[in-house]
Amino acid sequence: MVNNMIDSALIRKIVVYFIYTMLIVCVQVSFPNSFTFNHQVMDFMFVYVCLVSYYFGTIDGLIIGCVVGICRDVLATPVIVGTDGNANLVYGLGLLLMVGVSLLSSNFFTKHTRRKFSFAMMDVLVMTILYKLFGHIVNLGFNIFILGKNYSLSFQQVLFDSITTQFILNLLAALPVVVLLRFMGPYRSGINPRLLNKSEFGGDDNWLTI
Amino acid sequence: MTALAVLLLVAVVILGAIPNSPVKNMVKPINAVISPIQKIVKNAGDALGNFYAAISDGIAIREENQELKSQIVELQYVITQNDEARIKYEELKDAFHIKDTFSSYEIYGAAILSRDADEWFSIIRVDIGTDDGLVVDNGSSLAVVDVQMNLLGRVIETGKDNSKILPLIHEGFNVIGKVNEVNGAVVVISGDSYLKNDGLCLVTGIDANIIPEIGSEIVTSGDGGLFPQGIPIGTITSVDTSDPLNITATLLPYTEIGSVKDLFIMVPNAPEDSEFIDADSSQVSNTDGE
Repeated sequence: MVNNMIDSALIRKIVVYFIYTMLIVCVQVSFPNSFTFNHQVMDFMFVYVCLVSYYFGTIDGLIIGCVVGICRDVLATPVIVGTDGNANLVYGLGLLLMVGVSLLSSNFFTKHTRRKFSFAMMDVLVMTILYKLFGHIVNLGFNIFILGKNYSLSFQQVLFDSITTQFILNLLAALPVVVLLRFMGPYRSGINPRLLNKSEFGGDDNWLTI
Repeated sequence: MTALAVLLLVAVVILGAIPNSPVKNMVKPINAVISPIQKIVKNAGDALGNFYAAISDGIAIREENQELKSQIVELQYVITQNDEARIKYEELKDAFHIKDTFSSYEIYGAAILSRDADEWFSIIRVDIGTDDGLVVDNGSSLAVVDVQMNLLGRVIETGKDNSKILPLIHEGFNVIGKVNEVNGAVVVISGDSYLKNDGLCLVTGIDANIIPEIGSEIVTSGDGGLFPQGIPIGTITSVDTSDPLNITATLLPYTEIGSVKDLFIMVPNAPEDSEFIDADSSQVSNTDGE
């Protein structure tokens, strides 16, 4: 009886994660124009990884982060211009990004506060800013020190056009993702039971509230 | 443990950047799994969008229908005139041996599967690949054009059933162009992180003695061998002469990448299929005798 319950919970988790991951990944790369404002795209993949990691812990976050990261690399591979001027596809950056985000998000104030909606939004906000800042700094360094040319974006453009627009869009994108994960998510109660059992799984005992 | 995992991932990234690295082969099975799912989602989204458009456009279509009916009568007359003009054109073409500009290229139609995920993950994927005969070797590329034969980008990688396109406005894109007139100035068109937000490209390599005017049309020059000569790229929208040693301009591409759904890939015919070099006259001719 207990085994059946565990099995059904596990099946639910796998099925829900599979459907949501595929849906979010495919929608993101198929219809980006529908979610674009001021030249920035709502990053559902990024937000999804942030929220799964924040709400359901490191293990869930890492697995989803890896899958989403690989999908991002396959479907929207980043291009880096080499010193020879040739554009090269680089595989693995999406994976690195999503794994990094999942590790940071799953530990975002989760030790001392409950995993609540306001902090989930704060998590998305902080992760977006960190990602954008890191991306621009890497681009700036790459352009100046490796390619030997100026970075064409000014500080104001980076701050307002890129970072501010992106975090506003990502906060908007987070709303439906939160609803999906909390009320129709991988766990029936909206809570990962592992996180309630501190001694067994090494998680925290700050259960979810919204 | 975490540091080890991150180090491992960094190693994968570095390995992935090396041409012909095994990482590219490792992602192929994943591509095979996710591509069909993504196609289904895209088709479902398109169908939903079409359904919504059908309802919302219903009233406008009815009014437009009335207007179109009256236009049909006028167009019938124009068609008759055009038919006559076409016959005359064909006669003239034969008479003057006008060669089709891109007759030595095979044109492959493709539909866009996926677009950019964000400003740094910005590749376009299309639904044809090596199975359809597209092959891109290291150092080579294929020109990609829109339905009006305007330059849209280039093929950067081909997979079994999909290919990746580097769009014209991406900062990694470079093409040599020229002003579309006799002895027009040769310039370099490239993507730029800032200008791409406005759908523009950067024009550099401008000779101070032959500065293109605003409104000048730029076409591919054919230099470099990647792109055939004469593909329209766009028009010059501004010229910055403040630094005489580094005159730059901005170019508005003809193609609007965001709204393009279908595109065309230009594959050069094998030399034995389309052209041969006459050893005596050193002239390039088509096998069909044009």
